[in-house]
Amino acid sequence: MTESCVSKVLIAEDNPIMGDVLRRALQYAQFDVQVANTGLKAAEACVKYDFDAVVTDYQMPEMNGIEFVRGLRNGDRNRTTPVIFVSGKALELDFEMLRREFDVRAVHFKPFSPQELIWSLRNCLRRSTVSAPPSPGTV
Amino acid sequence: MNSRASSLKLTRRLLSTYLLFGLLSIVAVAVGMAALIDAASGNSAQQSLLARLESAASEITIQLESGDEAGIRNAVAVTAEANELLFCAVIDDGGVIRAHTTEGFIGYTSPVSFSPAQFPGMIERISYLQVDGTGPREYWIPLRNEHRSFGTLQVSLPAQRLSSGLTNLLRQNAGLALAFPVLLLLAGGSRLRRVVSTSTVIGQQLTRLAEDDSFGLERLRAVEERGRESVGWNRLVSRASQYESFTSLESRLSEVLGGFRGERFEQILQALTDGVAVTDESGQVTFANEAFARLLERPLQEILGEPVETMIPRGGQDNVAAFEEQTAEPSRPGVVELWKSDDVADGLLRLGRSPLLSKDGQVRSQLWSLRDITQQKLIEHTRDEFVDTATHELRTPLSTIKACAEALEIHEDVDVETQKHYLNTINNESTRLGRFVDEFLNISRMEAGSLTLNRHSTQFERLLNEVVDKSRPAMELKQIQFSIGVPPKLPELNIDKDKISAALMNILGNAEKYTPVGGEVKLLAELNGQEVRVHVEDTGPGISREELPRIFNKFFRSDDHRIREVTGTGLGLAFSQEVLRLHGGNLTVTSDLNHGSRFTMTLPVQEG
Repeated sequence: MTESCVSKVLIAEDNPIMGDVLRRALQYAQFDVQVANTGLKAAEACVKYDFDAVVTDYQMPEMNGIEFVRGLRNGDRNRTTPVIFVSGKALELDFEMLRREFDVRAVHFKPFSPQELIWSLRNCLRRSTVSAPPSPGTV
Repeated sequence: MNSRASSLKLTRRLLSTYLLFGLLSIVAVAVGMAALIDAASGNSAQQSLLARLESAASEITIQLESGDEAGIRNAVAVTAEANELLFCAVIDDGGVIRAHTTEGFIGYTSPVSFSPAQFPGMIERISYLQVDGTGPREYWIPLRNEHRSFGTLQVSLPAQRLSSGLTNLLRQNAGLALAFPVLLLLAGGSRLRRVVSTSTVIGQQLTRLAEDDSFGLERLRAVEERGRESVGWNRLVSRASQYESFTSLESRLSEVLGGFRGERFEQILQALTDGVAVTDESGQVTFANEAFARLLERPLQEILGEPVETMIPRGGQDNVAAFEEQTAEPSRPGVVELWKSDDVADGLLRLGRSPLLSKDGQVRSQLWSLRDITQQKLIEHTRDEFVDTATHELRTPLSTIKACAEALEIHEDVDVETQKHYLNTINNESTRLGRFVDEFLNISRMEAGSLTLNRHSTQFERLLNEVVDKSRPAMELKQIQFSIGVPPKLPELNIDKDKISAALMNILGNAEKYTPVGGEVKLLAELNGQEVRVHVEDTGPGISREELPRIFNKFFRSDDHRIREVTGTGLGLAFSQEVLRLHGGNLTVTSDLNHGSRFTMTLPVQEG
C-alpha cells in the first residue's frame, strides 16, 4: 500500500544511535522518516507537520512518551495519528491503559526487531486508510 | 465401708449413752417416787398411832373414873406394849405421876407437865435430844371426860416410827435428792454433747467444704481426739495442711518466679523496636509497649483500653478498608500496610495480627505487631528502580545491535559505507554493554560491601601518566585541549592502583564525553599537607544546582539534553566515589552551569 503513496513517520527516540538505526531501517522500508531526539522536539514537529504514524520511545528527557502522546491527542494536528510505543522499560508500561486512553496501537519492548516495527506500522496504516480511526477515549 | 462402720459405731455409742443416762434417770425418778410414797405412808402411820393413843387415853380415863389403880397401870403397860412406846405415863393435874411403864417413877412429880385446862388438845412435843430432829417425840394427851379432867397421858416414841430411814435420808439431803437427777441429766447431756461434738465439728467443716468452692483446705480444723474417727479426721487435716502449705509454697515460688519472668518479658517487650500490643476479647488493648505507641504517634496511656482500629493512621491510602479486610476473621492472622500519606517517604507501617489461643483452644486475645517499614519500602523501591534502569541500560544497546544486525542481514544493495556504519555501531554498542556489565559488577560488589582494595605502594605520578596516556586519543579525536599539571615530586601512595585508575578514567572519560568539540580539559595534581589532590576541570555543560547533590547516586542521569545525548549508565561516578571513600579519601565536585565542572579526588598520604 505504501508503494504508491509514501507514509510520513515521526520517530521520537532520545538515543541518537538507536534513532539513526531506526531511521535507516524505516527509510529502507520506503517510509518518509523524521527523527526527534526528545519528546519536546517530537511535540514541536507534530504541531508543524502532519504524520501518517508516530513511533515514540517511552523514556526521553524533558518530556516522556506518554506526556508527548497526551499532548498529541489533545492538540489539533495529528490528533488521530496512529501511535506505536517502543520501550526498554517492560515493567512500567501498561499497554491496556495506553490503548484505552491514547489509542496506542502497539508497544514494542527493546530489544525489538525493526522488521516487527515495520510490520505493525504497515498494519495500522492499512487500518487507518480503510476506516476512520477511533476517537480518543474509546477503544 | 469404713464410714458405714464408723457411723454404726457412732450410732451405737449414741444409743448406749442414751440408754445409760435414760436408765439412770429412770432409777433416780423411781427412787424419788419411792421416797414420796414412803413419806405418805409415814403420815398415815402417825395418824393411826394418834388415833390409837386417843382411844387408849379414853380407856385410861375410864379406869381413872373408877379409880382402879391396877387397871390404870395395866392399861398403861398395854398401851406402851401395843404401840412400842419408849415409855407411857399418866400424870394427874397436880403433876404427880399416877402410872408409868417404869414403875419406879410412880408417885414422883413430873419435871414437865401440861395442864389440860391450859391446853385443851393433844400436844406434840419434840424432844430435841438430837440436833438433826431424829430424837424421840412426846405426845401429851389430855385425860378427861365431860365432867372433869384427870390429868394427861404422856407417851414417848422414837421418830423412826413415824417415817422410814429413806424418807429421813431424803429429808435430811433434800438438796442432794433434787440435784441428783438434774446432775445426772446434765452429765448425760454433756456426755452426749462430747460424743456428738466431734462429729458435729467434722460435719460442719465438710458441709462448708461442699457448699463453698473457695473454702481452702487450710481452713480445716482438727478436733479433740475421741474415737478413731476423730484420729482419722485429724490425720486428714494434718495432711491437708501439709498439702496446702506445699501448694502455697509452690504458688508463692511460681509467683516469685513468674513475676521475675513477667518482669523480664516486660523488659524484653519494652526494649523491642517493633511495636507489640495485646487486645482482649472485646478488642481493647490490654498491653502495648512504648514502640507501639511511638509508631502510632500516640501516648501509651491513650492506647490502653482502646481498640486498635481507632489508632490506625488515616493516611492517603485506604488504611481502614485494608485493615477491616485483613482483620475480618479473628482466628486467622492478618497483615496490613498502613500508609501515613500517599508518599512512602512519609511513613509506612506494617501491622500484623496473630490470634492467641487460650488453653481451651479458643481465640480470646490477639497479638499485634507493628513495624516501621518505610526504609525497607524505600530500599525495595530503589532496588526495583535499579533493576529497571539496569535492564533498560542493557536493552538499549542490545536493541541497537539487533537493529543493525537485522539491517545487514535483510537489506540488499546496501553500500559499503552504510555496512561499515552498522558494524561500527554494533562494535561500539558491544563495548558499551561490556563496560556496563563491568560497572554493574562493581556496583553489585559495592552494594554487597564486597568491593575490597588490593593496596600496593604505588608511584602516583606514574599512575597519573598512564591514565593521561589512555585518555589522550579520545581527547584528540574531539580536538579537546588536554593540559596536565603535575608537580615534580609526589609521594608514593599505598593504594589499589587498578581501582584508582578506573576511578580517574571515569572522571576523565566524563570530561571528554561531555566537553564539546574544541573544548578544554585540565588535569591538575597537588600535594596539600597530608593529602594528594587531583582536579579534573572541563568546559562542558556543567551541572545544575538542583542536580549537583544527586550526581553520585547510582543510575543518576541528568535531565539535561546535552548530557542525555551522550550514552551513560549513571554508575561511573557512584563507583568512583566509593573507591575513593574506601581509600579514606573523597571525590567532590563544583560546577558552574553552562561553563564547566571541576571534580576533585582527595587521597590521604599514609605514613609508612
